[in-house]
Order: sequence, then structure tokens, then C-alpha cells
Amino acid sequence: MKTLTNKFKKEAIEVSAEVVVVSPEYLLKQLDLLLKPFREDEIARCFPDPCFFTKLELADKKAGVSQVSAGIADTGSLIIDLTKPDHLVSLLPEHYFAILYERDLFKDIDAWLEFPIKPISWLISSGPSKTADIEQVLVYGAHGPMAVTILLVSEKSA
Amino acid sequence: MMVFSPKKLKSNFRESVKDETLKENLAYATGQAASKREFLRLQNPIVWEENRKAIKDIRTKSVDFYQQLGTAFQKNFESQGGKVYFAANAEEANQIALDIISWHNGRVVVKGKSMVTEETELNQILERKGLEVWETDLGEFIVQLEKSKPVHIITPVINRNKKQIALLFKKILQMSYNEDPVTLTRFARNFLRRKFLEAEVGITGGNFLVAETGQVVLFCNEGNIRMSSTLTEAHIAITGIEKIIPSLHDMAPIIKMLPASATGQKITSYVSFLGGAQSNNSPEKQSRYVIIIDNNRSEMMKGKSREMLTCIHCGACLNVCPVFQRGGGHAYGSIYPGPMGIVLTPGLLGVDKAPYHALACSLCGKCDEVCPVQIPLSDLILQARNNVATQKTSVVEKGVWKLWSWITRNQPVLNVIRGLGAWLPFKLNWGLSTRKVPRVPRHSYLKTINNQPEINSLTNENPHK
Repeated sequence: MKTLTNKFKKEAIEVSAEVVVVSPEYLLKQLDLLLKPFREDEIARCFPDPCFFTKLELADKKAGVSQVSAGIADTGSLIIDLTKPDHLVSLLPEHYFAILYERDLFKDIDAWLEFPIKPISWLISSGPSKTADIEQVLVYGAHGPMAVTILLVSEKSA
Repeated sequence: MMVFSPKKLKSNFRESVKDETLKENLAYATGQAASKREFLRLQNPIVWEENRKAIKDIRTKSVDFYQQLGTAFQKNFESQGGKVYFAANAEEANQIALDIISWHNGRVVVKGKSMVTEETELNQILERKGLEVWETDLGEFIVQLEKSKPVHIITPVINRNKKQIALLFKKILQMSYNEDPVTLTRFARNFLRRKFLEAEVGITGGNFLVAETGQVVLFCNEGNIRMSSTLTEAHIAITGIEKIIPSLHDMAPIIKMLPASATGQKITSYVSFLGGAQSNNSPEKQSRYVIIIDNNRSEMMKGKSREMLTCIHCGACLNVCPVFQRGGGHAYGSIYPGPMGIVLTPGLLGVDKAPYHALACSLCGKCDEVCPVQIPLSDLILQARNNVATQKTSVVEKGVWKLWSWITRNQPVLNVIRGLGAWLPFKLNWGLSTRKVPRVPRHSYLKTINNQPEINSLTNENPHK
């Protein structure tokens, strides 16, 4: 388990996401701490309680929080279920905070593709959105989030 | 689409080669992509080769069984609530897209980068119908504002520097002049964000269709394709009949190799797998349509350039091509440039429509080495040249070359022509489409070197003589 977690951390940083490992009992506290720079009305909170925002509401939010279905250690990627009503939370706000449980980690893309229970529409998301179209200068936040922070929730035993 | 004579093709390249900014930017961008790709390959060259082989097998199946895969995809995609249309040609595909847009009362259409819609010239059709169409990939957006054409299939505006882009934004979008790439990107983001929220319909290509699960697979970095496909009331994916792969696990090697070959990234920011419907419980319901277009592909499958249709459009062959690196995409005058383009263009349009593209190649074979699908590009280019030679060459021209070949093999005749001087070869150039008959030199090679004192002295000193 730990090797998967470490690999995930390393690769997620490689694709310019930020990773915070947190134990379950401190998860909400840690989340509040990370969201401190934002006003409450700037945050689209879809964790721990579900939420319903329209795309127009979400487009004005500075931060979005939701839980992701899975993580892929080999590429530091998140799996986002596009059939869930909150999937746009990971796309429209400027800063996306993903909650990922350690038990949802897969070794690589192959392992996830073999996994039998998948929604009909889903997405592999790796780091913030980016472009290098103007003079090959890498700019984060092309159309999607400018930053992605992953709260990796470790197992109790950790 | 434009058709170029070899003369025009040559003068295009001559023009491009003079453009120092273009050459510099091309060299930098293609070099970067190629070296990052090489870095990833060297991390495990054996696995890299295994993946190439795997993708070749998968894509060969796609082409061999395109009809069965199309039927299977349609069944699975429609069972989830989506709708699949098959279009024989560009007109049909464009009409279907127009119909879908009108069902959803579309006025604003956002587009993710799609080469197939460049092929069908969908944008022009939509604009003629009074629709507001926005290309949302930053590079394509700039191309649209400029009313030009992409210079590279992956990085469309490498021919422009930030000053030119800043001036363009100032002129057309009334942005106060600022040449910082971050500021320019933010400005485009805010501008297009409004369009994304306004649009009723999003149109994207389709990198792949998965027959087994009935899903459209889309790769993107900017998030624009993700937005075009999940934010609007209706999403239309338009792709070719050759893009359907059998099963979901076939995507594993492709995900590992496509971004690596295209930009040298391990993975793109987003890889979407979109089924027949977005969701049943979301506040905004969404319909999804897939248009699978033939546009001469089934004809091309019968010919010798069939293997070209296994291409996954990564652009790796462009990045290593010595002709592309110096000329850029515009010089080819076709949607698909570089090694893949000079095979694909005559394949899709017919040799008659694009006869001379295959000449824009030095047959160095670098493209064969990098292709993630192991397409033998230089063989196909040679084949395309053969097609030109057999189908596009006039009887007169063939006769001229036959005669030339006979002359050069007959010493006495050649000597007679030498005696006559240079007038005859000039006459021989009449009616030739691609190359000139070389001038016959006044003296034979042997005579030439014997007349050169330095060479003589060298040979005299040669102890082996």
C-alpha cells in the first residue's frame, strides 16, 4: 500500500499537482485549513455532503472540492466519474481540491481499465489544465483549473 | 481543398524557408517534442517497442474490421442513450451536424480541435448558416482570429511569436497590448469561458471510439475539449471510420504512447471516456451524438496506402521530418502536413487531386523510426511517388525518360550528344512535370579528371598505381 502511495505522490507532483497526505480523522480539519484563503461563497463544497451547482454558479467559484473515484499511481492521475452531478466541480473553479482515499489507488492504467465496475462516462485527470501554444511557454489554467491539490487520505493503520 | 502543382509546391517551400522566425520556432518546437519523446522512450526501450507492436496490432484490427466494429460501437453507444450516424462524405456529415444543432436550437457552437472537421470544412458551413462558431484550443483560436491555417497539427501557431499574438488580440478582441504569454492565455480563457457557458452545442473530434464499451475517447491538455464535450446541452463527436478500436484494454498502450509521441508528455491533462449519455441525475441534461465519416477512407483501404489509416495522428513524424522542420505545415497546402500528410492527402482525395505531395520528402526514413504504430511511412511515400509516376505522367514525359535512360546507357550516343553541345537536353525538358533532365556535360568524367592537374598529381603520387 505504502509503495503505491509513494509512487502516486511522486508522479502527481511530476504532473504539477500538489499532494497532501492526511489521516481520516484530520481530513476535514486539513481541508478547512487549505480552504482558508477563500471566502465561503467562493467555494463549491461537494464533500463530505453532496452538492448541486449549475454551470453558471460554478464558473464564478474560486475553489471546488469533491471526492474522486480512484487514483492511478503510475501516472499520478485522478479518475473522475462524469455521471456524478458534481463532475464540473473539478473543471470550472480555479483551484480544484480532490479527496482521494488510499484504498482507491490503482497501480497503473491497465489495472484501472481491467477494473469491472466503472461508470459509463469517466475521465483520467492529471494535474492542472495547461497550454504551451504561445511561444512554447507552459501556462497553467488554460481553460480548466489553474491548480490541483490532492488530499490523499491514508488508511487508519498508518 | 487546394491542389498544388509541383512548381507551386516548390515555390511554397522556397517562401517558407526564407521565413527565419518560422524556421527558428519550428526547430525549437519540433526539437523539444522529439527530445522529450526520446527521453520517455529511453526510460524503457523494450517496453516502448512492445507498445508500438501492440498498437500496430490494435489499429490493424480497427482498419480490417471497421464495419463490424462500427456496428458494435453503434449498438453499445445507443444502448446508453446516445445516437450514432454514419456519413459517406463531407456534405452528409455537415448536414447531420447542422440538423443536430437545429434540434437543440443552437446559436453558439464551441469546438475542440478536430482535424476531420477541417477536412469537411464544417466551420465555414456553420458560419454561413449564421451560427457563432468558436475554436477553443488556444492555438486554433489564434488561427481562427487570424483567418489562417494551422502550421502544425499538434501546436498550430508555432509560426507566431508573442508580439504578433498580442497585436492580434489588441486588434480583434480590443485587449490592451500585453505580450506576456500568461496574460494572453488568461485573456483568451476569460473570453472563451463566456462562450463555453453560452454555447448550446459542443463539437469535438474523436481520438478513438471503443466498440466494446460504446465510448468516445478524447485527449486534451487545455480542458477545452473536456468543456466542449461535457458542458453544453449537446455534444457532437465527429471522427473517421478507421478510429474504432475493439476493446477498452486496447486503450492502455495507446494512452501510454499517444501523448508521449505527440508532445513527449507521459499523459495529457485529460483523457475522457464518454458513453452514450452524460448523466441522468445532473442538473443539466446532455445528449451525445457521434458522426462516423467515411469520406473516401473505405476506398483508401482497398489501395496500397491502407496502412496509413492506422495512424493515430500524434505528429511524431512531423517533429523529426527534415522537410517539415524547414518548411512548416502551410507549404504543403493540405490539412495533414509532413510525412503522414503526404501519404494521407492523396489517399483521401485521390492521386488526381493531390498528385505531388509525395515529392516533399527526402526519404530519410526518420519517420519510420518514431511512428508509434510502426507505419512504414517511407515505403508508403515511395508507393505514392510510384502512383504519380504511373498515373499522372504523360506519354511524352514517360517517353522522354525512356529516351534519357537509353542515352545514358549507350556510350557512343552519349558522345554524339556531347559533341552537339547543350541544346538537346534543353529541348528534352519540355513537358516534364516534376524534374528536369540534367545537362549532359561537355566532357566525360574520365576526361574531366584527367584534365585536372591537381588530381593528376595526386594520382601520380599514389603508390598503388
